[in-house]
Amino acid sequence: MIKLVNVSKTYKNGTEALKNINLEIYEGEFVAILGLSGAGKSTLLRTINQIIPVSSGNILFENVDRNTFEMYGDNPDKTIEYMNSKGLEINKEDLDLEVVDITKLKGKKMRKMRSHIGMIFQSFNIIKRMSVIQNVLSGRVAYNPTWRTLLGIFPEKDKQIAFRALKKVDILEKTYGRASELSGGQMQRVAIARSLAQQAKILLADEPVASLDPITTFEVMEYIKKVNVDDGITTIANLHHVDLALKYATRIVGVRDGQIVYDIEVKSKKNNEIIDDLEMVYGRPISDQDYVGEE
Amino acid sequence: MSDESTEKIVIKKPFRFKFYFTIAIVVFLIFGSAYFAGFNVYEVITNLGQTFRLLDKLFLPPAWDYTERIIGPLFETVQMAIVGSFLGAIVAFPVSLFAADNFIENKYVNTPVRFILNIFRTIPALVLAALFVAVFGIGSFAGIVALFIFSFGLISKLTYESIEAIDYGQVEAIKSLGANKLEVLRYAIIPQVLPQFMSYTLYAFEVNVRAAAVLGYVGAGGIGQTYERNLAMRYFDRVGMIIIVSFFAVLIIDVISRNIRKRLV
Repeated sequence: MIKLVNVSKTYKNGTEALKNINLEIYEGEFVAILGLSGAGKSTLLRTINQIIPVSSGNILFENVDRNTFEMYGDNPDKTIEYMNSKGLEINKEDLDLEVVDITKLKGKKMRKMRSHIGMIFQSFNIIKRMSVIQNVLSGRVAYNPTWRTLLGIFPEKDKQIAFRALKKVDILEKTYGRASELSGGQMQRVAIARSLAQQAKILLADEPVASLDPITTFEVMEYIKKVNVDDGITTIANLHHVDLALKYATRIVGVRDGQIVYDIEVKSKKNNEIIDDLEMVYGRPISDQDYVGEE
Repeated sequence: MSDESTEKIVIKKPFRFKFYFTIAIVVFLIFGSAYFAGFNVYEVITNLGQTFRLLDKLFLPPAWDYTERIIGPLFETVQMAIVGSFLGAIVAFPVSLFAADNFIENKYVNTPVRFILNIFRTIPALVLAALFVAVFGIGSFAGIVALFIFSFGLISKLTYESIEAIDYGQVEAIKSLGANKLEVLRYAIIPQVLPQFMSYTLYAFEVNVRAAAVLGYVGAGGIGQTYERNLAMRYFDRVGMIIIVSFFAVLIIDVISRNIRKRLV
């Protein structure tokens, strides 16, 4: 679904954050990216939606409709069938599917492409001075004309999408509350709802649970997993904790010094063997600090 | 554990050259300036009697019945301040966006805009007023234009610094939704800076009320003009009343505005 080809990123201050990354991500996967702080995990994630532009290399998205930038994933027929079952009435003949290189897009096309990629953050980054529903509706900005989004008037159809997203993360009762009044876990759930409202096919999660306590951590991870499995949203998450990766991810990618040094299907190997392998990614033995602990 | 030796410890204190040198310079500057400005304490003391005589003329008693004739110009003063700061704020917001390097990421835009803002801020309101009286003639219009320019400089400077200090994560999140520049402004920047911006506008209003009271002196309308006329005619009791009324008006407006500002941020 996504293919990173020879991606490198050097910052203005000379830091080489990514060195010639090659990575292919398949539809429906839950990829956990592990590595020490400063290994380049955040940069890697941010190049995928080009919030951070690459220095060189290509990031290809397969089966993207040229007009809407809607993504049809690895198996377009199945995706169309699924979308039609949700009442969207999509006809394959109307689509113009091709491979899109996001690093080559600019302006309106770039924004259109981005609108199909959800992102959540360690610091949640929801707008605290707005209500929960306004936050979720902001996920619809790219689907509406600018005058509408500037006035904050969204059509009923979008409101229904937002309500359904809030229901999915079980926070419907906070709909008209102010976002600043939520707890950390609730804020992250609102952020997930915002991505759902985008109707994104891909979710990028940058340390989504790093500022949450252990109980809330599992709660939020469950919602991310639910979105990944139920809605088939391909998920790429930077994680700090090895046990979270083993529990929720289908694949683990290890990053060290801006390079991919490890890549494995979680099911293909025993957990303790993967943990042993990860010592190579971390450059030190895996210890208690790398686990959230028991649920 | 105790120190066994009874020998007195002597450490030579370093001579603090920088400290004494600074004091010498400051003293020199104060006395030097006083000398050149023709200020001397002796004169202040010998003229103390005259000062008391003037205070007596101003306030013992002030012209109480003149109050109703002051109310008009006083309101004009406050109105000038309101219009000046309001217009200044409206123009300041968009301009401060161009000065903020996290909204317009182009230093060839930021730097000249900031340079111009700095120039506006360095010119005192009184000088601006004198200039605009020459251009637009005597009256409150010149005063309003002066206050407008002055508040514009003040508010835009403070606002662009607030914009640069926002949490950029929220901008990043809104960008990742596929939002354009205006939408980033609406969803990520304005919610974060609006309370500060309103507070700066009120602050500019406070400063403007004080400034507006003096502007009349150069013919730019408001209570200062009434003050100047009465002083020229040597109606000291009326001047005293003007001082009392202006003092309380400024005080009340300051207290109210400060309270609102505290609640905003």
